[in-house]
Amino acid sequence: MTQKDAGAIRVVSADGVWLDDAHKPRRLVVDSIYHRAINLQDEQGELFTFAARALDDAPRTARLDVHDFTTWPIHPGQYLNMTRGQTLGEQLPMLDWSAARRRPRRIPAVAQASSEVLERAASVLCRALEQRPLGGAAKPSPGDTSIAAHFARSMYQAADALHLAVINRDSARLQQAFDAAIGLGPGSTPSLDDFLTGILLVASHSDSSMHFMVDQLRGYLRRHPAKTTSVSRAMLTAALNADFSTTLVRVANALVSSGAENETDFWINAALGIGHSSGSDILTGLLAGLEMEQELRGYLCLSQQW
Amino acid sequence: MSITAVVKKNTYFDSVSLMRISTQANTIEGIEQAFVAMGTEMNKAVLDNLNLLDDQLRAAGTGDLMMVVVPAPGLDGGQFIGQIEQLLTAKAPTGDSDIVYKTIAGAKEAIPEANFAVIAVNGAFAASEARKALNGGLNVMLFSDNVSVEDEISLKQLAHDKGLLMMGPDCGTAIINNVGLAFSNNVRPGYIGVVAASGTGSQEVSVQIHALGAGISQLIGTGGRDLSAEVGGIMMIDGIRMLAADPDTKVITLVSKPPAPETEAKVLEEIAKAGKPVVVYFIGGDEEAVAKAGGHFAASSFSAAAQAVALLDGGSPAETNIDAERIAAVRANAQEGQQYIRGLFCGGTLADESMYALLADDHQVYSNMGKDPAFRLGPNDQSREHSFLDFGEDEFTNGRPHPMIDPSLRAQRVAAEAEDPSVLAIVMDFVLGYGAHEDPVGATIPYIKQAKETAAAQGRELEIIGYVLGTDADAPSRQAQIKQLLDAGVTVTASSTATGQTIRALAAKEN
Repeated sequence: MTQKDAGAIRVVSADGVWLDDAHKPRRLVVDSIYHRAINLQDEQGELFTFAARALDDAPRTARLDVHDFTTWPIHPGQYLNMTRGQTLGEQLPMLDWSAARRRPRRIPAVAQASSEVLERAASVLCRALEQRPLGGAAKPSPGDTSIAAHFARSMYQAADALHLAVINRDSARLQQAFDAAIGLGPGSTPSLDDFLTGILLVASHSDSSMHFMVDQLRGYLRRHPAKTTSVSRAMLTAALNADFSTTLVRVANALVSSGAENETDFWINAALGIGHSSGSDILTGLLAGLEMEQELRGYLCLSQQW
Repeated sequence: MSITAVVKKNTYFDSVSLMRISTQANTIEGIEQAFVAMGTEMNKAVLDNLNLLDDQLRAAGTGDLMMVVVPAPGLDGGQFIGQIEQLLTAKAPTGDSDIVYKTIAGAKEAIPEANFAVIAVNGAFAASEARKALNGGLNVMLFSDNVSVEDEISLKQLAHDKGLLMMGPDCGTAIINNVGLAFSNNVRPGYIGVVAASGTGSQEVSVQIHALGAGISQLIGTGGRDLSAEVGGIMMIDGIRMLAADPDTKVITLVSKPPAPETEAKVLEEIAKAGKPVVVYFIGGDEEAVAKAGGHFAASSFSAAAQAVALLDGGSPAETNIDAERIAAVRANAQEGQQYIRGLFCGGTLADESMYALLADDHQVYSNMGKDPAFRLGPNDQSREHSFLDFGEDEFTNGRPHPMIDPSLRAQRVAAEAEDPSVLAIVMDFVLGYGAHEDPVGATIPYIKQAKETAAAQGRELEIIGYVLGTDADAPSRQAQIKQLLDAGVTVTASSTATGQTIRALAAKEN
């Protein structure tokens, strides 16, 4: 099975979920197809992804040595029976897993940074996001009644609600904020889900003062599995386990490291390149996370003194 | 308010296309508003608040696409659904988010705001397609080769008259407004603009600028023939003028293989008018002429990058380092007669830079690049003495991909060179970039190991020197490629210039 097939497509790198159960036969249904990614769901509803080589390593993803998937004869809803290295389906290429690099798991270290470092990181990020409103839509004027304006208004309200619920450590408000936020935004990873993912770059670490929200969000997603798209649910689920794409971890860690400023700028720019507004929405969430972490540390410090 | 809503089941588009389709649909005459979004509960809730949620939309699932049209008063929204669906199907017949257009005219019609075309068609049709694009107001990057010099001149003249870029033919590297095209590398944005008549030369200069902490504003490729006497540097001169006018470009760097003297003179005249510091790296260029024109002469690709960064930052140019200890050890361990360097390159300028390093010490070098027939090597010729092969030259690429895409042919040559007991070292480049092979080092390592084993079985140590052109933001990353080389016992150099200096030191004649 691990033998190299001359006509096979090489798997460049893969997450442990692909490699650890290599021998396990999988029955997967095609969930969604993009230019450079194919999402597949197993019978338990877990999402797996094939990505083109140009994308970076990400949770539950196997990167194939292909430029894109435009020529693959595949459609949503199609079933694929596969064992690692064996055929995916009729007319589909074989995969060669023999040299697949295991995706290294990198953990964002933002929550371990000092408050001064968080403040500096927030200031850098704030400057970078100055011209990049949430969801790619600036806050609309009060008189604007267009559909786009309503969406933009709803997104800002939901982000505010999340912020208030977290800094007040208010479970009930947090559930309401999840109600208002999750699944909001036009794309396949809705803007507020991206925003939450950014917050989780801080909150998913057990040292974070916001870590309490992780179990609450995990429970919420379990209770409301159809609240958002399958791709977005998988992204949030991975983020709850502190599992992010390489670019996101690099940008988060660059912000709190003492490395060169231009290196930080580089990774910010790389993250901003994700999707249309996904990258900036995630970074906006990260900025909110950095600020909330500082606020909560102050609160915890004061409450201990009292 | 009358609305028309349509739900497309299980249809995924990324946010780029959904936003764009909404924007495009909003410009259709007769549509007051249009919105396209995935059918999540929250998106439906927003539409519900606006009283736009009908039963069909209410039933949409998270994997379904919702299209909502609010027509102008008196019109039926249904008449526009076909047009919006056309926007969707034109983009992605298989549910994919990328666009495939059959003609440049079709693409331009569908994306009127487009201002750039990358053309990579058979050379016989390339000039005609480029002309259409220029006439449509598009800047052009012409990747195709085999375009006549007459066509090149006429295309560049047309672009010049229209104030557009005409990069190429045979242009493989450009970075325009921070978008990397073809073989370019993932370098950080910055304030150094590059105009280059050499693909790998411009890649090398850009990655060294990145390594030195600065970034690129624009990288304009001209095609390798631009500085010939016939073409007269039309694109390089226009490129210098564009960068001179670009507020984000603080320093200009020019890169080329040896230019025709009359063209070099025209280009140097232009740098005097640029009003910004200009670094000139023309292999074999005239230092005095560059200085006289007010430019900063660079004798190597690294020097070009280092001077540009120093001019930007106000510091002293960085210098290259080579591993003198390692070089001494290789020479000490060499067997009698083991003295020659074999260069196996996929980057033309990298090959040139290394070869020139040996020529500077009056070594005889056989190659497929030099013009002297007495030292000419054909693709099937056996190497002799110091030999350099550029596998990107036409004789190796006719009918097969460029070695940056398919490194197999060059990899096999590594093993063949190892059989020759007079070989002291084999030097290779590994070029990363958007369009390059996913893992050029990994594809070559088995042959490197075999080569070392062959030499060891004959009681020799074979030195392999590798240079990885790329950044850590490339995929694969430079560091990951270097690690593979180091693990395989390869000596890794930090730049093309350092590679040349290393082999020059290895091949130095004993006094």
